[in-house]
Amino acid sequence: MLEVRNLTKRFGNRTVIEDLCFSIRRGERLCLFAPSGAGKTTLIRILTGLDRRFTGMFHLDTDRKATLFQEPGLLWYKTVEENILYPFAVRRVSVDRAVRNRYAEWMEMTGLKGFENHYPHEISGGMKHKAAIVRGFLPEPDLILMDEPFKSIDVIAKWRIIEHVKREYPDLSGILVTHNLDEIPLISQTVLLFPERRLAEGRTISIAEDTGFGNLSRAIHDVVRNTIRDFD
Amino acid sequence: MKVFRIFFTPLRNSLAAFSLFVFLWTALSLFFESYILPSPLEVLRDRAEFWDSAFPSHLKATLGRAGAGFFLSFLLGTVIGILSYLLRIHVCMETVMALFQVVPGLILGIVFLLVFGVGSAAPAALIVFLTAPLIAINTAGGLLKRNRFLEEMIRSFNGTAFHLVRDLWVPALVPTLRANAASGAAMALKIVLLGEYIASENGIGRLLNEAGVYFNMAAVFFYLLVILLLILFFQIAVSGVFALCFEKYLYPG
Repeated sequence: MLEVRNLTKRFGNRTVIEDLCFSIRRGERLCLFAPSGAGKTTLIRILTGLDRRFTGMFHLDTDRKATLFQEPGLLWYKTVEENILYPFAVRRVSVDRAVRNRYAEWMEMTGLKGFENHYPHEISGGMKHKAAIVRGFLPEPDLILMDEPFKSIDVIAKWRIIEHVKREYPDLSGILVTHNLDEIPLISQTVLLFPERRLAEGRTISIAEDTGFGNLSRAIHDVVRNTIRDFD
Repeated sequence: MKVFRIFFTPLRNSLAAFSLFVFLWTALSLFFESYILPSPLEVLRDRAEFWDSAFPSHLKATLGRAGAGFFLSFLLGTVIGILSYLLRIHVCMETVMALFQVVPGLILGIVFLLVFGVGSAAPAALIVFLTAPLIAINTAGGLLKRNRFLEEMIRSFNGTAFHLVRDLWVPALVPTLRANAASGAAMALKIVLLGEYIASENGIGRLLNEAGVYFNMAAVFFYLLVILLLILFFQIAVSGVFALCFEKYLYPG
């Protein structure tokens, strides 16, 4: 689905991504875990096609990708419904009955039902993030790039969304960037850990093989310890 | 409800500002002789003296010049602002435009008087040269301040330049265009008076010149009152047009 080879990104003299290599199979969901400022968001922007100034390459098997950014990015003059259906308008894809059904399901599940005709300034921050999540998933992408998409969403709503995604989109591939440990095993089968403050020489941990939280939590603990040592 | 709020908030603010101005004027007039600073009541009492049969033609001339100059400067300023943003020369352009702003209107007015002669062209050109740079700077600034997260969101869904312009740039520019229209109209009226004062044989600026020569302060303040009311009318009209036509693009509040 996605293959990243020798990807390097520099901001002036500072290298944030160095010789990064990894791949994702169809249906595989990978979590990137690294200290703040390591270049995770930069990687998401590159894979989304927003930043083309890098060396190395990446190959995507599909055009059907979506990105969930840290900011919900709702157009202020469109209602919640218009915002959610915006990708269909941009791509000139008609909103058929199947889409309408999926839309109704998502609205019910996220608690956005009843707020369809509200404008973004009339709903809470968490609701805006939920609307952005529905907008990302509704067109049924093959690959989803998620940059801390749940940061303003309460635990129960987050859990419901994740369960819904796992149930309704079993073949979905994805990359999740997060700082929340609890999200990692819920979403991802694999974690790519970067102990340094840049994306290079990552350590891959399979959650399925880990059968629990042991190795993962130990590895993350190492990352945190290294980060603290860097600060010292 | 939002339309009413967008329309009536500036109306209420304009009326409050005008009331405050009249109050301050009245208060100040208590400390000066009426031949220096007549009170608003004295000016209104003598209005028949200034609003004679020739006054409407002067008013019409001023409004015509201000309207033409404003329209040209709004168009030119907006185009220059957008182009300077697109060509990424807005910083350089801002400096150039600021230099234009520094040149005193009086000097430009004399230059235009020599170039165009006495008539309507000099005041209109003066408006364009002094107002268009400000509108250009505001327009480029409005584009620079647009929400980059929204731009990235649109591009992430394979949105093209067309989608960016239609769904982000134009809506993001609406508040700036509204502010440009309101302040540009006020500036246009102010500048046209200067132009007429220097280089015209009619218009309210010309009447102000004559009133100044004869030290007729009641007439000066009467014309000032007319100008203030015209500016208020312009601002309320601009708010109304934007509230009716572009209501959904204006940020709440």
